Amino acid sequence: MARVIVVTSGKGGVGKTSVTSNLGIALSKSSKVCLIDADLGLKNLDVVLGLENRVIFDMQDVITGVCSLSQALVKDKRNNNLFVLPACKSIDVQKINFSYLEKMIENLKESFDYILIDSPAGIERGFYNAIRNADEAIVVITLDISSIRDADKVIGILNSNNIQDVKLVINRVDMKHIENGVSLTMSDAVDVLGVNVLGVVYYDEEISLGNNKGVPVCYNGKSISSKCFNNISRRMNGEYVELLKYRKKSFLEKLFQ
Amino acid sequence: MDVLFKNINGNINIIVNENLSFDSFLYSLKNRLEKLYIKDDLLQSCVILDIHNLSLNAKNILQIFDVFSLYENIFLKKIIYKHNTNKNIILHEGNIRSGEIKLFSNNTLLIGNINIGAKVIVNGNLYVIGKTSGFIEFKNVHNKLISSNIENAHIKICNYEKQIEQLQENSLVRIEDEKMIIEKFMDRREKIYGKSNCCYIG
Repeated sequence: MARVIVVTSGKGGVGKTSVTSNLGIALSKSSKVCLIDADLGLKNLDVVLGLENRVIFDMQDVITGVCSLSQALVKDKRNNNLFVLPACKSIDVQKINFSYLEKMIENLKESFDYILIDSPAGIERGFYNAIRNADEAIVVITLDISSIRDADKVIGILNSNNIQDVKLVINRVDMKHIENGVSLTMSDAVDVLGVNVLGVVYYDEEISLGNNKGVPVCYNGKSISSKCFNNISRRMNGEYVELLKYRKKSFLEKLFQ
Repeated sequence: MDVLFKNINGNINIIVNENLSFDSFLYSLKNRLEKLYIKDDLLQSCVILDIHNLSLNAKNILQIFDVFSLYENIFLKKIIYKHNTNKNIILHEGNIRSGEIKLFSNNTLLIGNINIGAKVIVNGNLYVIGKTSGFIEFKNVHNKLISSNIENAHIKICNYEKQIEQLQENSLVRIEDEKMIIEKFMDRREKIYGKSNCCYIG
């Protein structure tokens, strides 16, 4: 039976889709993973994974009976263990009956080890649809006050919707900004939110580059963010992995990068 | 031995024997902590107190916190206990988060934080072991707020309101002579034992 985990944040632009895609890749090294894009109408998950052209059917087609669930799943071109259920192409998502999503997830649970649901930003209807089928949640934050405040609200909503297993991924951590006092510190965030940290993802230009190319950074094993995602996936599998120490690049490393 | 100390994953786990009364447990705990403190001059130790055999009410929990607050380097991380409901004090564990509104109809012990954006309405005194921010409203003019940390909070006691922006540690907020006053809560204990640290539940 699969673990159903919703990746959410409250605030937009903190990197939910990047975390979902990269975590999916990292987890798929040892498990069978399905990523569900619950950001209906906008759908970015297939884009960052470079699978946009492979999408023939989407969630709406499954709901309306145009195709079967297995037909709508898109297999990653580089990885046999990773599948994506794309969000609807149509922007008219208000008419969709979401009780079908519950049935879809129940069916998928039997075939996968992990189901990651990429939730939309905000706490509107789409967010509630994304969390209603999840057993666990990963809240993605960046170290700014609005992201932490929104995450606090979201954790409250998750708890009141019977999702007690909530963990934090701190994304885009820039140690230079923390040292200069530009951004908040990680302990500030943990103090306010009071939930366990699953992992930290250091700021890395490679993430944006990978997203734009449709090759997520986790396929590049050398980058620091890729190591961060691999560590998070190992923690999710129950291993004890210490937080990755940030190391500044030396002059020679910068010269030859 | 009534109270056992075990080092598990860097935390000191304190385990209590069965059939021990709360008073004897507290006495043994005080003695053992005193010895430990003198012996090791501990480097920041986190303690998990496993007293699942004992049934505790809010007053008992406060007494345990009082014991731990005497040691600067020993932090109480978690208490595992049986909850004994006491009608006079409501016990609430966990953070009250931004956007949440909580109503407490009696004196309340809150173990956790009240975050910015949260609203708490109390008909009684409120004792917070944690950080107090957000909006806290008391229905009665005689009600008091006692908190280990108050910062960025808006406090309303009956018709008197005040915003506390700067961090106030171990403070008591009450109304006196038609004014809201904030005073140090631990003063008396500090005179006896010296400056103490407050504890949190993690």
